[in-house]
Formats: sequence, structure tokens, C-alpha cells
Amino acid sequence: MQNIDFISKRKIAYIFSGCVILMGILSLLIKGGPRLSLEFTGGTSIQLNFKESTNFEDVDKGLRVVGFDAKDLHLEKNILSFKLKGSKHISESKLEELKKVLNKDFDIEKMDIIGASVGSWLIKRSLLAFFFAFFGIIIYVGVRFSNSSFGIAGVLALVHDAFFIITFFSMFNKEIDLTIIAAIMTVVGYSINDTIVIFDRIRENLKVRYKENIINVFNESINETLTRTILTTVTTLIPTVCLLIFSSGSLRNFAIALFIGFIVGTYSSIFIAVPLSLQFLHGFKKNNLR
Amino acid sequence: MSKSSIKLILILLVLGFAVWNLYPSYRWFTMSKAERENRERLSDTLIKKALNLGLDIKGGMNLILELDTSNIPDNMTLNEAQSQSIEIIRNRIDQFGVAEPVIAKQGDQWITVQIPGIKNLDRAIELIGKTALLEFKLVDDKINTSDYINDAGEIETSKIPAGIEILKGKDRGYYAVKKETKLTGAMLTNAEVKVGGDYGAPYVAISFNREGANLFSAITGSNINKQLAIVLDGVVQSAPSIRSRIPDGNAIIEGSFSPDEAKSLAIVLKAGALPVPVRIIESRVIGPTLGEKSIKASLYAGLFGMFLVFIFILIYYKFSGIIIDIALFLNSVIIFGMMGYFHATLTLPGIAGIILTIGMAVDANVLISERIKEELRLGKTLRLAVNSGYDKAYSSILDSNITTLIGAIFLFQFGVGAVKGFAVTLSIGILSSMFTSIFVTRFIYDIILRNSDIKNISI
Repeated sequence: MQNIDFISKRKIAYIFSGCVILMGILSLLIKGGPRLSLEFTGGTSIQLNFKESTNFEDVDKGLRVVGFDAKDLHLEKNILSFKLKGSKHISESKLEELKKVLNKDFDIEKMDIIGASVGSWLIKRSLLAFFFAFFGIIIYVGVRFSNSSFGIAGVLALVHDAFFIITFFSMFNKEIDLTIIAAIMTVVGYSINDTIVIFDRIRENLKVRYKENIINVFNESINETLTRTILTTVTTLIPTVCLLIFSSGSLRNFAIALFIGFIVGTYSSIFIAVPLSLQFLHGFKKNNLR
Repeated sequence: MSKSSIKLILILLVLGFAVWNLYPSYRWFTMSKAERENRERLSDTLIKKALNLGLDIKGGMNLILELDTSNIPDNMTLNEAQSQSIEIIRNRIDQFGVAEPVIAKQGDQWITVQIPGIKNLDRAIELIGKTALLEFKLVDDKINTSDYINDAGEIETSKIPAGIEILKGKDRGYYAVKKETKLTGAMLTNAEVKVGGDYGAPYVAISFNREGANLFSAITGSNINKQLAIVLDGVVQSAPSIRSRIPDGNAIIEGSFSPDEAKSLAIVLKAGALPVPVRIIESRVIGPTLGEKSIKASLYAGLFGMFLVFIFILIYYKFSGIIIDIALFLNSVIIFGMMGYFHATLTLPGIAGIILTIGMAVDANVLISERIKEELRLGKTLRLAVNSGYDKAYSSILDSNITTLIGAIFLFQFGVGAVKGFAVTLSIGILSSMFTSIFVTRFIYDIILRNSDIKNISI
């Protein structure tokens, strides 16, 4: 059986994760927070699917003729998307007018008109939900493992995973919408599952090998579960990669978030959650840890 | 009865239940589109049994209404106003004829309304967003309304004499009416569209209940030759002159309506006025093509991904891989069957939840198989290795699944919308995958190992 010394590499992992987190914080600071979708910020966004090919200039002019002050205009494969300020109702007659001006027919692909108040409530409730979920996990793991170190280390790794996804989306200027929140939840679920499996092995090994060097026990526990970790990561990544290949638009962003998250989740279980739990468990006595 | 036949019966029961609940969805989604639309119109009971697709998948309109909290009647709490508004809106939508609308509380002053399909957006909004407060007020013809309108066309409320208010007319001008409301739409028993009059224009005929009819009779009797304004949501629809006492409680509302407008008005009047005015603060429309694209992508990804996972496991675990694949297949059947039973709504986040649980189901099986392998390496016999492999894998499967389940329960309790939908599918998936990966696979191993000739299987 392979025996890789994971724990001694924790500092490299801490530095790596620290750098990513720092980059994330910087990116968020420079850009004034994550790029949240309309669902959170409010506003109007419209996507129209033209039945025949059309050109940008005509559409741009046409929108102004009917009185739309359109921003972020995009035209790709006959799909026109643009944003408007405010959240006032847009009547169908206005869109009929646009059809006449452009002399082209289209279907509504998507039309979001959203007031800001729901979004901030949504953010608050979602954060609250995450907070309580994390709290519940810490309590349960604390009871099952008769020690709070594991739960706290596990949850810290989860926060780490969620922040990695947010960092990626911020750095690549991608929008965070509700499906991305769902992806983050999925990753969190996956990551805690992954972490607990290793913790369980540590618990089992500590019972019989309490006299041995604790670092060795932790290391071997990771190694013993490594085959399983790799197999599970591969089987989880398979459908995710399929989704990446088949999807487009917001579903693709969802798949990207899952893909990054599953990899980060696996990494954080081994390199963040386990070493952290060891340090919490053992205190920060330097001479005990290599 | 032996222990294993009890187990078999339990497995068959769960499976039968799942298939039973999956069958309506199978029938529904294998129908042609025209057939489905036809059944939707007839509000076939099959719709209520089939798996519900979220608006993000099938397309439709999602509205959030905000109650005007400053206008709540004294005898009502915010919560009551919210519930009553939901009932009234549901009534209106039902009369309009929409299959499967979702109308629910959100937060304490919001109501979400989800309507599948995106025909007649404007009418739907008109139907849902209207307060529909119908009032009858006497016109004060001694007052010249133009005295109270400034050059900018605004009503100067400060100058208006006490007990009088100036209201806008639907078609033109302003009316000075007495503030006192003589009669409201609360006493209506019926409202319907009629066509007639001098120009064949549609109008709405209303009838009052006995109490309303008596009031109406008294009002009309004592105000002959005066104008009675019919006010809807603060706008005067028409102000006919009272020519004689009307004893039978029937009246008509005219106001140059289009046929659609008249129909909507009749519907909202019959369903009743909302207890508080509402404002549409969010409207999201998703076209059917966009939803179709995303469901196709996730369906293909799901099927293809599952297929690859099955192959992967088969190659890696050989014979035991067959057992795992059977369990995974049953797991998917049970998850979708349960979702059918709860008539759960399948949204994109929900699909994410399913992907995660299938991943976790694989994980449980991998944990067990790896443990069995370890035990075999220690030189144990197959039967012993299987037994202790399961025993040792239990704790990590239970702990990791229950930890995730606890997270899911909290997300369900405190989350909203997409977060909740995700939590539901995740919880169903965790329970089902624990059942299949621990119970079902163990049962299959037991059956195989009962035949004592088998000393070795590939794993």
C-alpha cells in the first residue's frame, strides 16, 4: 500500500490555499464584491430569440426607437440579450412594437424584472441557512467523534471550498446566480462527506493505535482511504464533465462551479480538514508536529 | 418466514412503491406535446401524479407580489392578509384556467406566483396584480373638478373640501365624489361579461346578494337623478345617472372595455378583492425553448454520465461491480419514484442534488468494496470478509450520510426557493442511497454467498 506523507505537506497546502483566498479577497475588493446576478441585485434583463438572422446595429437602433435604454447588449446566434435599469413592468405591446420596428419576429427566451428587496432577503436567508447547516454539522460531528476539533476543521474546509468557487467566479468575472448557490451547496455536501470518511478512519485507527505517533496515524488513515477518495472523485466528476460538455449558458457555469468544487473539495478534505483537525486536537505545540 | 425472505419482501415493496409512483410520470412524459396540452386543459388528474418540472425547465412566469403593509385592515394581521390574498389569487387563476399554478407565501409580506407557459403575460399580470376593490360612490356635481387640478395635471388634495375626493376617470377627466363608500364589491354574488348596449360593446353585469341588493335599492331610491360613480381600485369606471330605484340588485359596469378586459374584470370581481393592495416587485419569464435546452443538456449529461459511471464500476470491480450497478440503478428508480410520490418539483438545483446523491451512493459502495478487499488481503474467507467489510464500512457511511442529511435538513428549514428544492432532492437521495447501497447490496451478497461453493468473487 502506498504511503504518502500528506501531513508534512500541509504548510504548502496552507500557503497555496492562503494565496488563493488572498487573491479572492483582493479580487472581491477591487471589483466591489462578487458579481451577483439580477436575482440578488434587482434590475431588468431580457433575452430574445430571433427567428431569423439579424444584425447588431439594427437591433441597437430599434431598441432606442421603442424607448429601451439598453445596456450590455449582446447578440449571439440570433439570441439578443440586454439589460435595463430599474424593475418596471414591460408590457407585451412594447415587445410587439419592437417586432414591428425591426420587422423581425422573435420569442421571449428569458425576461427577468426584479426589485432589489427580494434579492437582499434571499441573500440573508441563504447565508442564514448555510450558517445553521454548518452549525448543525459541527454539533453532530462533535457528538459522534466526542471532540469538537473534527467538526470545526471540517466546516472550515467547507467554507474554504465555497470561497474557492466564489474566488474563481470573481476572478473570471462570472456572475453568481441561484444555480451557482446550488452548486456551492452541492460541493459543500460532497466535501463534508469526503472529509467525514477520512475522519471516520482516523477515529477507528486512533482507538487501537493510541500509543503510536499521532501524525503517523493521521497519515496512514488518509492513505488507507486514498483509493476510495480517488474512485469517488472520478465517479462524481464523470457526470459533471458530461454536463460541462452538453450544457451552455448558465447551466455551463453551474457545471464549471461543480467541477472546480469537487476537485477543491477533495483537496481540502486531505490537505486542509485533516491537518487542521490534527492541530486543533493536539493544540499548537510545535515540537509535537514536525 | 426466513430472514432473507423478509428482506426480499421489503426490497420488493419499496421498489414496487417507487415504480407505482413513477408510472404516471412515465406515461405523462412519453405523451405527445399536443396530447399533454389537451390534458392540461381538461385538468387531468395524471398531471397531479406526474413529476413536476420547475419553471426553469419547462418555462413560465414567476411573479413576486408585495403586500402594501401600510394598508392592512384593522381587523386583520399581516399573516391573515397574506393567506387571504393567496386564496383570492388562486381563485382568479383557476377561473382564468391555468394548469398547476403555484401560489405560496414567501417571507412575511410576499407572495410568489408561478404560472407555467408564457401566453398572455399582460393579462396574467392584470389578473393577479389587481386589488379589484369595487366601490360605489355618489358624484358631487356641485363641484367643478378643474378648480382642484393644477397646471401640471396633478390633483391638489389640500384644497379639496372635507368629505369629497377627486378621482381619475378611466377614459377621461376627473370626478368629484363623496368620500363615503355606499357599497362595495364584497356583497357581489356574480359577475359576468355581457355584450350589448348601443354599440355592441362588452360590459360586466353584476348581481348583489340580498343585503347588497337592499342597500343598492335604498341608495338608488334616495338619489334619483344623481350620478353614481362605479370605482375600481380608485379609478372611476363609469358614473351613470340613477333614473329610478333598482330593487333587484342587478347592475352593470360599462367603461369601453375590450372583450379581454371585460373578461378579466368579471373574473377578479367574482373572485373578490384582495384585502390589501399588492405590487408586483419581481417578474421572471422563462421561454419554453430555454428550458428545453437546459433539460436536454442535463438529461443527456445525466444519462451519459450514469452510463459511464456504470461502465467504470464494472471495469474496476468486475463481478461485484454488477451488484453495485444494480444498486445504483434501483437507487435512481427509488429517487424519482419518491419525487413522484411527493409530487416534488424538479428544478436545475434539484438535478444537482440528484447528481450529488448518486455520487454519494457510489461512494458508499466504494467504501464497502474497498473494505471487503482489505479484509480479503488480511487472508479472511470471502464470507467473513464481506461481513466485516460491511460492519466496518457502516460507521463511515452512516456518519458521512447523516452529516450531509443534517446539512440538508437545515437548508430546508431556513432556505428558500432553490435552496429548499435542492435540500428536498438531496434528503430523498441520501435516504434512498443508504437503503440501496447498504441494504440491497448486502442482500444480494447474502444470496450469492448462501451457495457455499462460491469461495471467490472478483472485486
